[in-house]
Amino acid sequence: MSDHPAIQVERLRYRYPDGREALRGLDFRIESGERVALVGPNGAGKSTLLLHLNGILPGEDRRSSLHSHTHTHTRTTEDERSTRGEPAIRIGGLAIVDRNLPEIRRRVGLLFQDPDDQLFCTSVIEDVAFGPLNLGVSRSEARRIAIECLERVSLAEHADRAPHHLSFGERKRACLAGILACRPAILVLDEPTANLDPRGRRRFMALIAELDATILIATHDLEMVLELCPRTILLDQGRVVADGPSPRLLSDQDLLEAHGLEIPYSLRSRL
Amino acid sequence: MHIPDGVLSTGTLLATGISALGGASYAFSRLEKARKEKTVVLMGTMSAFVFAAQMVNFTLFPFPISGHLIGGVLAAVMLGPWAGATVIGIVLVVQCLLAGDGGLLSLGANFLNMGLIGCLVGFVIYRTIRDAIGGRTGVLIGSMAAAWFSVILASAAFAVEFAASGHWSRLLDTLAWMALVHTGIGLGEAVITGLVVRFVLMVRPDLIFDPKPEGNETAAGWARRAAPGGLAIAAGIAVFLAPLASPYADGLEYVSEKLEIPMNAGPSVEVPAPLPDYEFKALGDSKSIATAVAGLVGTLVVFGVGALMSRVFTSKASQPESSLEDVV
Amino acid sequence: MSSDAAARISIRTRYRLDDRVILLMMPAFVCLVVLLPVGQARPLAAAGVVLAFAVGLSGIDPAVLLRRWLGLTAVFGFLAVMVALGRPERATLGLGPVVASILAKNALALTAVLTTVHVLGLPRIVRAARALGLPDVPASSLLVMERYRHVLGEESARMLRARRARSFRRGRNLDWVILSGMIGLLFVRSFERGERVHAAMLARGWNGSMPELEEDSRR
Repeated sequence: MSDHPAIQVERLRYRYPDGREALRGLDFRIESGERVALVGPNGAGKSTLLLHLNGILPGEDRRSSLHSHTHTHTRTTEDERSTRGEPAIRIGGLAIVDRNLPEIRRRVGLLFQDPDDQLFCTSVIEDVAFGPLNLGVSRSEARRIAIECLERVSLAEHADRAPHHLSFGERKRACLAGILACRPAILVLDEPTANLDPRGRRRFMALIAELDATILIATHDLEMVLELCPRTILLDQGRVVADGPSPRLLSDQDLLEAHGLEIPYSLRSRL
Repeated sequence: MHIPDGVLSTGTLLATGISALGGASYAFSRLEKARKEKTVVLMGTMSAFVFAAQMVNFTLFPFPISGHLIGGVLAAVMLGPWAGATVIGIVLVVQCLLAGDGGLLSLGANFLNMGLIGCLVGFVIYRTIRDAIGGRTGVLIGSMAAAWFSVILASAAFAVEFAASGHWSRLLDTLAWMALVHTGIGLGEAVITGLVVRFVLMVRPDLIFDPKPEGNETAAGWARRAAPGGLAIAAGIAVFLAPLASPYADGLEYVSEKLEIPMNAGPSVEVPAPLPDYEFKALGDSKSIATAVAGLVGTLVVFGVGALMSRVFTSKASQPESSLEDVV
Repeated sequence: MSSDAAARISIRTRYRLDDRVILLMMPAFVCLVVLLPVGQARPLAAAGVVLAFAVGLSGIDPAVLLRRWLGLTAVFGFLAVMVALGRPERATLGLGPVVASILAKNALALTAVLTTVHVLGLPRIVRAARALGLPDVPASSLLVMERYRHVLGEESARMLRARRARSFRRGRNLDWVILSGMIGLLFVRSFERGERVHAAMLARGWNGSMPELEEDSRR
């Protein structure tokens, strides 16, 4: 597994059910242990891409069309091939197909933007234990893991509270604990610092910095990118526009402005 | 609408409880088979939605009256009849437990009236009218008519349950009063349901539940699908007309006969009241007529308002036609 | 709140009742109260004393119960009169006592339900009910509902506020079309929320039923 890249995306395409094109042929690879930022304007396709990385998209369409594909042996163009969802993504060498989904979802931890989408249990500890329990861990072991993960995000004393009694920042950290409890090799974070107050943001960034995993962060927070991610992928209109070291990419004024971004403040003094 | 504890007799509680339990477990087994995981989540958020939607109060401007969405038909139109009934069941359980709204032992009766009659019968009516009219207009008018008739039928069911709890002699009285009061509630429910469905049709028509129609349907197949809906509509109309036969009747047999052959419910023979309990006779007659008139006017209003509201679909040529057009 | 109350019960009685037992006691008590003969004060009073003891143990604020009861009695009073009119006891006792005893029964049943729910809280009730045979589908939906009741309620309140802030008309009499549009929007958002929650559950390996963390329904 070590010689496989952590994430490999090839000619990934996706259309929304209503026909709009969200991803128009993405190619990139992320090596194991890398920390990569995914930036780009709203609607660039960032969240859609993230949902592909653990097989939530393309959803049932993929299954049914894969079926019809295997039955009719017709030669298809490359475009059709990827919209039909032939494995365009590999996670540690493992193609995203139905039979691999449980393993893929164990390997890839996905942090959603809105913590309320992800904290769906009636108490914090149940939520954190949700992943381990689904993986078949015993209840006492799941409880132990959950408490350990809550301690890592310093929420152990809130274990028995209901999620709606937590502050936004606490909910966000509880989500992270829930993902860490699945012990993923790859963490995919969607806007981890959005809507956090400065202290909450600091705290969350410190947590991410400590993590020992391959990390892909979709964000508008370019200052965080500079601090945490050596590499940046710039996405716009469903395509990879640029891919390179963060300091270089994020100081390219023309590039950033063409894609609805601006140079982070900390880099401006150098210009 | 929520029946509290202490209103229904033990026998009625048992009968309604058993039929509700049967209906619920059948609904669960249906749901268990069909794409269970997603339905479970959607039913959870949809029941939460019904609570949130009930926070929105509609006032009838000059009067100090306000009401809110009940949501049975809306849930059935959006999630399908079985999931819709489960959603209403969840809402009823939680209203009973957290707010004491509706009795614990009456849960069966309440689920029967609002969940099974509200969603299942409502859905059958909706499907019949939707298929008959077709397109988005059909969805809109179908859901409004379903909301209207299902509220009336639920109120009639309550009247029957109440009468079965030792008040048989007052069955048609109760029926008339319940139907009269519920024309107002039913109209409100129909209009709110229609407005919400119209909004969804304009914004996310794909969210509306639509099981695949069975291929090229034969006329006989259509008739078979439409028959229960027609019957339910007829029963709804019968609820308004039955009280006209007031002095003639003395029990469930008579009413159930009426429910099945509604057209016979029209003119009635005036015979002196056989029971001493008919103190309200004079009042009863005008009330029965009022109920019949209100029911018929209400039915016309629902279809009229529905037709008016659906004009938005045809007047806006720029609006892309939804896939629902193809379905019918 | 509910766990506090449960803890208090366990401290005061030094026994901790199984959730399932508490859950079964509730309908049993309600049945008993409903079956008591109409118009006899003594059995009702006895049931009231038992219940008062439970209310005291539970630590629920009696004012809350009273307010809830008064709110519902406005509607229930009418029904109680209707019921009383048809009771045979009316002939011997008169209308007033019969109505009063029907109201009292209802109050006792209501109090029993609200007290039980206060002690256990909805999530534990669902878990106990599941241990007693409630199928997965409604149990899981109920748990999801309990979690998102608050989230969507806040969303609804926020939308109402925003509408009011932009409305030039006075009073609460907002247009039906606007209000229905809000409900429609709320529906679309709830549906989309459900889809995202489902995605989040799949992302953590969900297989269709909410897993249980508790060893059994006891804690």
